[in-house]
Amino acid sequence: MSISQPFRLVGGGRIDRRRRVDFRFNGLRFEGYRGDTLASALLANGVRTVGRSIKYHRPRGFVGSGAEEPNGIFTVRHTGVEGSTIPHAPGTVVELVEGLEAHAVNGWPSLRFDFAGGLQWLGGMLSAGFYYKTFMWPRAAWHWYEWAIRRMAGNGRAPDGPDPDRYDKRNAFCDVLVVGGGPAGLAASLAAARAGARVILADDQPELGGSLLGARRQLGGKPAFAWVANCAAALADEPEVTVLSRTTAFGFYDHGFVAALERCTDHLPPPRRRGPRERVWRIRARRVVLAAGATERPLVFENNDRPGIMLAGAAAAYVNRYGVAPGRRAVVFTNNDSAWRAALDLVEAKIEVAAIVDVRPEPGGALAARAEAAGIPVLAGHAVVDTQGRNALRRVRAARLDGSGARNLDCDLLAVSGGWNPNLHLHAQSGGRPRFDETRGCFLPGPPVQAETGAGACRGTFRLDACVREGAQAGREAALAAGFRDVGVISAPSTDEEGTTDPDPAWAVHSRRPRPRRAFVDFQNDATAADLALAVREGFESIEHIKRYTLLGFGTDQGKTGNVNGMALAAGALGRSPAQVGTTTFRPPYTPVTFGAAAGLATGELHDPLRVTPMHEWHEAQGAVFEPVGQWLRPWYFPKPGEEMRAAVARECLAAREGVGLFDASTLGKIDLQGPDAAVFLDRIYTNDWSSLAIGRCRYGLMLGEDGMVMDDGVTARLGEHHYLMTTTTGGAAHVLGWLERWRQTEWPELRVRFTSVTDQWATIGVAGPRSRDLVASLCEEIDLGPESFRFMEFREGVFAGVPCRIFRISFTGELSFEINVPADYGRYAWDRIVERTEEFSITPYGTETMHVLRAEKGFIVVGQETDGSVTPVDLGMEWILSKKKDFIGRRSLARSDCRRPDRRRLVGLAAADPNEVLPEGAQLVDEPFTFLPVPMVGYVTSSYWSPNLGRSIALALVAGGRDRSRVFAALEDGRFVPVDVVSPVFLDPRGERQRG
Amino acid sequence: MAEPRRESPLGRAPAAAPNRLIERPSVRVEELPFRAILVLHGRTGRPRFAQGVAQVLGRPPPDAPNTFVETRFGEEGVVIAWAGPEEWFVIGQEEGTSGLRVALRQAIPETDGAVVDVSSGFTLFTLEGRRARDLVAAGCSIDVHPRAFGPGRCAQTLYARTGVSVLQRDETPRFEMMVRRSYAAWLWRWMESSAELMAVE
Amino acid sequence: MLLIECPWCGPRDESEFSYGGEAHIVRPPEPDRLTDEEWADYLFMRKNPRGRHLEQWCHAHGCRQWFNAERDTVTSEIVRIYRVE
Repeated sequence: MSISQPFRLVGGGRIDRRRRVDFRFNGLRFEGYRGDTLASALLANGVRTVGRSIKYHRPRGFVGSGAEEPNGIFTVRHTGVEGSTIPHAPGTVVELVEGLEAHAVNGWPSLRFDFAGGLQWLGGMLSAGFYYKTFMWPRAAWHWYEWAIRRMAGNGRAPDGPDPDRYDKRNAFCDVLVVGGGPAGLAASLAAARAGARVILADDQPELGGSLLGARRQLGGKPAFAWVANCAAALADEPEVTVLSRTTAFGFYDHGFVAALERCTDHLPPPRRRGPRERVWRIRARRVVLAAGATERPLVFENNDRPGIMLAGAAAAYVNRYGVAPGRRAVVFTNNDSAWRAALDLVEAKIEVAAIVDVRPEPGGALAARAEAAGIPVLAGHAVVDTQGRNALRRVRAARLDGSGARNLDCDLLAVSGGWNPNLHLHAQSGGRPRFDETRGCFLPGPPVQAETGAGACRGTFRLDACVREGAQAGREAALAAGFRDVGVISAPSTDEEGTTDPDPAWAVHSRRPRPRRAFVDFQNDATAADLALAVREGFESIEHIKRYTLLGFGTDQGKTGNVNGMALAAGALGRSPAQVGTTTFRPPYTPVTFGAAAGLATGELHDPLRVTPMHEWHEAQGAVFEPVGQWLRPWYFPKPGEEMRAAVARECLAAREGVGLFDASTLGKIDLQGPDAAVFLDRIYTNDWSSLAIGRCRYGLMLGEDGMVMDDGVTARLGEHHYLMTTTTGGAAHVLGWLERWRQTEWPELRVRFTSVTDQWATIGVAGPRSRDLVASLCEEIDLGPESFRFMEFREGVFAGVPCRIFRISFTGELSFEINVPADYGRYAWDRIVERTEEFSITPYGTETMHVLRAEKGFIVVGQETDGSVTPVDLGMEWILSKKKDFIGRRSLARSDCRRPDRRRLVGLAAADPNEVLPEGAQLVDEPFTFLPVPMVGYVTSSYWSPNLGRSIALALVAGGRDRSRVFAALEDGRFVPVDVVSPVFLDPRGERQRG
Repeated sequence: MAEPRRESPLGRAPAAAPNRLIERPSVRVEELPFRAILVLHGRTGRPRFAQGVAQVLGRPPPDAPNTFVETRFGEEGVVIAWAGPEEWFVIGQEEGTSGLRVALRQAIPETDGAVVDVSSGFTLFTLEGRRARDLVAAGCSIDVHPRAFGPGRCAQTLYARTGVSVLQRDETPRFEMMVRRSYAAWLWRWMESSAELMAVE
Repeated sequence: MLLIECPWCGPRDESEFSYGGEAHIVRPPEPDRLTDEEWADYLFMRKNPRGRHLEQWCHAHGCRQWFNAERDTVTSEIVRIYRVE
């Protein structure tokens, strides 16, 4: 650059001219000032073309100066910083920092010469629905089309590596949440704060002031900014006010729940960044004041998209807030008064205004005199009908509305205003239904559905002093409604307000050419006025359908500038009013939210809670491979160095049946039941009989849903007269506790029984195998472990390795086994005492895989594996556990005709004809593979393992009719059908002699 | 045989630093392991239950939801925290040395209430420092503003998707968070990350 | 994220609660006397109104108490909370 920042004005703006900031755009070096956005800095350097449009690849420049920006989208990085790429940021909201590197998201090989720019000369071919219609055939070619289309369409580049930044979340509560720190929001916050309410003010800008940041206005006879500064200082003095700057409220959900995104560090140079990059505030507010302002809308006319054509309010903001001239010679095109003020601001900044073109026959109101005094030519009753300029605007053509009197006006800036759209997003998200106001030519908020009220421009109030008054009133009422004192009417300063902003709706300008040029409605998606007309001609009537057909509002800007124009144009084509057509749905988020912010801390190992047992560190040290079971991490198997899973599991399986297998069963759910009615309660909840269980004994129980389907199972012990300990499956513990509470509280409140989860209280160590008794005896002297004195399905209390314990003689492996429960604080200690005896008793730790093999050898079911919510105890061959003497949950359902069908699937064992064939779990079973399609499925494999104890594969399955069949075929993924014998599910020790030994 | 050694849910702590600690300029979190913790069930309306508790702890359990009271068991400071209608946590001092469990079991007839030892099933974290409230707010949606919460208040809630009980012990403010053992190590890592984000802001 | 007023703990986030479906479904005292159709009606048939709905909620991550709520299924407004008696 020979001249630095040639479009920087001599003075003015809220930038810090002493702080120069170097940055790069598409590889070239530029400089700007602290306080600039990327957009204002680029404009200061005379960079006007900042992207190419998505479909036609037309050159585009900045249209707006804030979150509404449709065109100026960049991939943003920082020199020397890995990661931290923002793939798709509007340059109008990116605060300029040293070392920033921005790249246009579209335009290849360069912005000035875009290879695909010729697409725009394809005439009317690329109309709405073009892709739908053209690329449907041949169907198989879509993947090629998609590749080509995506390459040409403009999108940011996603970073390759993981996001190195940290993100945070914070929950917050307040009496009054104010969204927007402009004149209305400031007044509302102060009024609510003075009433004593806890106030949160969320504002998306770096400093308070809202629209006043970009406008030269007076309040109370002084520059409005003095008033803003006073308000900011007063708010800072209020102890119960939290001002969140750079914070966008992006979603308004149920019951006063508002989510806001705070950008914490993006405005700092990378070396100075500390803490989280962004933070999501989850705010629960009793009352919400929406003071979110309004967004200016463009006018729709031919070639209305050249760089240099921008919103009038944005042009004024570049001048007033950033000290940047968005052009040297401007034309202002408007249907309302607000753009007249912009024209005066341009003149004040020594920018020539060639003309104000106003569609209204007698425009300007009180501002007309000031325009005249400033020497601005006015073309009343005129419109801009076309523009020229290859890469940026050079000339506009204006004519009377009837097409006569056409003339050319040379200019490099066309400041456009089609009126203002209140920002209704949060109101609509809260359940409100916007309604169209004919007088003001815009949608306004409907009646509030939640505890919400609008103030200022976001409810269609555009006069500055009225915004302040309305804000103060809204804040006062919100605090009052939240139960605070009434602070009374708050006086508001008067303003220099002139004129009205009610526009003369001019939704689209027609050039009266036989073949009109494109007039854009949605810049980001290249949706034109002709596309909307075409959609209506092709029969679309609902605005939601028209939106999807034309892609109106589908960009990352969510149609903030284009939607209302599009809805009005569609309404016109349908011969209806905008009120009849209505708006599309306003969905959160208001502006894009990063995945990082959505995740917060919940990434990597913090993604979801992980539960571990007291012995977890030991398992880790042994090199266990872990398996997630619900939120638990359980050892899956314990490989020796270099050992594969199958070999490790085989070794563990043999050891448990020959020496001692050591198993961490601490994850099993444990529920303490106490009370005089505990037995009665168990009788109702379980299918079998509990009143007869003696103290000191255990019993296996099956729990059904009321629909008769198996829900959970486990062993319950009677610890005392009125005291039981129930165990549940690892994954079912929380559900079962909720289930018990529900029946007791809602159905049987008369039963005196109390439940306490004690899962975490006890470490449970399982020892299984022929030598397990000797092992336990070596550490537990006071309990007589003899086979006659401590029998199968009994428990004893005592001391194990010096620690108080409960020992249960129960078995899930079919072996002689003991489950030793000690308080979890001593779990690791007790475990270590056992491990010390590894040599003496040939102890082998085993994991969940071996546990599964051992139990499958015995035909024991696993709830959730052999059952899926549609399996009854009868299906499992467990009729023996169904008491006939009492009612229990689920019993009546077992008598339903469907549960008694003879062809229900029943649990069987499977033995593949080839004993080396381990069937895949889930494999489908058929009677006759080679028959007409579709082949009827008669069942499926539920569990399947290599059994080292049997030296062959085994499987459990649910098969229609059960053992009525003797042979089926399993369909494998590789297309084979392998013959399988249907056998008893109990493969090992059918009489249970080992576990009773 | 050697004296059995306890291990806190945070794993094997080095002998030099028996309690795990997160220490940042703005917030401090410390584990208080091995506390005697009981779950107490009963109806305060039943004299044999209320009197039984009062006999051991000097007062019946609090009826007001989400409150706790500080009382004594002999020389030992004890907290009784509301956990539900007819349910309380009784938090004493050192697990093992406390005779609390035995005393309550003896004082409350089986037909009128229940006492369950969960000392090993939970651990306590204490949170204090200038930004202790922010650390609470980072993980759970309980309003701990002085107008909404305060000393003597407690709440069972989800913190970082983990079930916890939060007790505010004093106005500084100092909070205690009681968490189930199996979640404790994970939650500790979560709080370390959260406190780290606060520390550098 | 609904704000649900637990009758004991006061207003809490929806994430602390579990939903129990339609309230006031009473388990028939003598299931054997019911026909399959009557039993199926108790088991499966539930109201699905547009508007006011009486439903069960449990403060699962708080005091574990079940209670009833009258909720508008269109606006999510909770009109009434009452205990199970």
